[in-house]
Amino acid sequence: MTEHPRTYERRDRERRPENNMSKRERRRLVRLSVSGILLVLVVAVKLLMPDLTDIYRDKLLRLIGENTDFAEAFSAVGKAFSKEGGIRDTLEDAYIAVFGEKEPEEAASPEQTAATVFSGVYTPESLPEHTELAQRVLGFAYALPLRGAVTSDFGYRLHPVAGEERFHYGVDLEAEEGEIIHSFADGTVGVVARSSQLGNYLTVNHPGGFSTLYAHCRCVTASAGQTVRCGDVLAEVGQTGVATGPHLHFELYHDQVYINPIYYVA
Amino acid sequence: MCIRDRERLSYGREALCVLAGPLVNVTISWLLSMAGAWREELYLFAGAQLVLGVFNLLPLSALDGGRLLWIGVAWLTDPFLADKVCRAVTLVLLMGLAALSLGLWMLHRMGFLLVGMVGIICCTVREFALANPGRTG
Repeated sequence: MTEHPRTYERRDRERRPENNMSKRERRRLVRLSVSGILLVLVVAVKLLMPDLTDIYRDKLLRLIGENTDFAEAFSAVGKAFSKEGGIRDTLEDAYIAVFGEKEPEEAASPEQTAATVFSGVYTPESLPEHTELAQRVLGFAYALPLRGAVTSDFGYRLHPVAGEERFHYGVDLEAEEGEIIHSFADGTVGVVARSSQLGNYLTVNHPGGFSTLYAHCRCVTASAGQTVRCGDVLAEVGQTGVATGPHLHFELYHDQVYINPIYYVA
Repeated sequence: MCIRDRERLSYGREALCVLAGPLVNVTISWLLSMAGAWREELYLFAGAQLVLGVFNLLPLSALDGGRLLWIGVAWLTDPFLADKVCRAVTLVLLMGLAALSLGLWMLHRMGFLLVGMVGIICCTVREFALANPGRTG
């Protein structure tokens, strides 16, 4: 009878450190199995419901990269070592690339021409370069981006904010804040970005080398690279950028020549 | 995994080990930046490396910067004070980053920092949880 408690005690003593080990091991096993189950779940969802995953993946990508040009910002930082300016200049460039202070993205030269004009460079009397007043045959079906009166024409006008005569490269269409902006025609969305002049803007590239630009939007729902049909929802009217009230600034150009859009929207 | 006291590195050596990562980052960034003169695209990678390296040097406990901070404070004073200092710095910086990411999202609709915060917060919570082995272990 006295032997039993002793062997029981010995075994109990030997068992105790093993218990501790198995408790830790058990926790690790639980963690491992939870991770394994999560992995299997995610892979299953991806394989069995690819449409759902595509929707959420697009949402996530949009959340991350919609308004930030990472390529531009990283390139600006990457030039830090080779540029002569040094740290301050590269930081300024990176800031501009991310927040678009001075000019819009360098995606297409029409944007750059617009930026140089808006900073006060214009030729009086004669038409500025890269503009055309004559009507052109578009060669594709088009529709009004929105129903609104033309408040500001293509051409020279007294700039409402700057107070001096400047060339207006598009037409301003009166609209209420939040009104839907439709695509002028079939095409692919080019650039979706923000600048201090144009506010939230986007461009759409159409067949035949034509492009349209929609500026001062409150928010842009289309994403860069998206294929759109004539009349698709692109953005909402706002007054971002240099604007005295909510309106749509609409530009139409062909191969970097600004065309008067009045013939197609009035 | 247990590291016996005899095999632990001195503070100076551990600091060197931790610095090795950011050093590689900066070197690669410099090399790519030089090579960018031939190929324009390399500036992108150089910039990405540099941004990653700088981010890694932020004094959050989950990042290399936090480890360097801990080593520095522990070397100057003692590891327990280092623990407290690092936790405080991490919390303050986390709140600042959270505010910044919310601000960027609200004002400019830029969500990249917001998404990054999720990962950072997860890592930091895990670090704090592991430091008190009684709770999770």
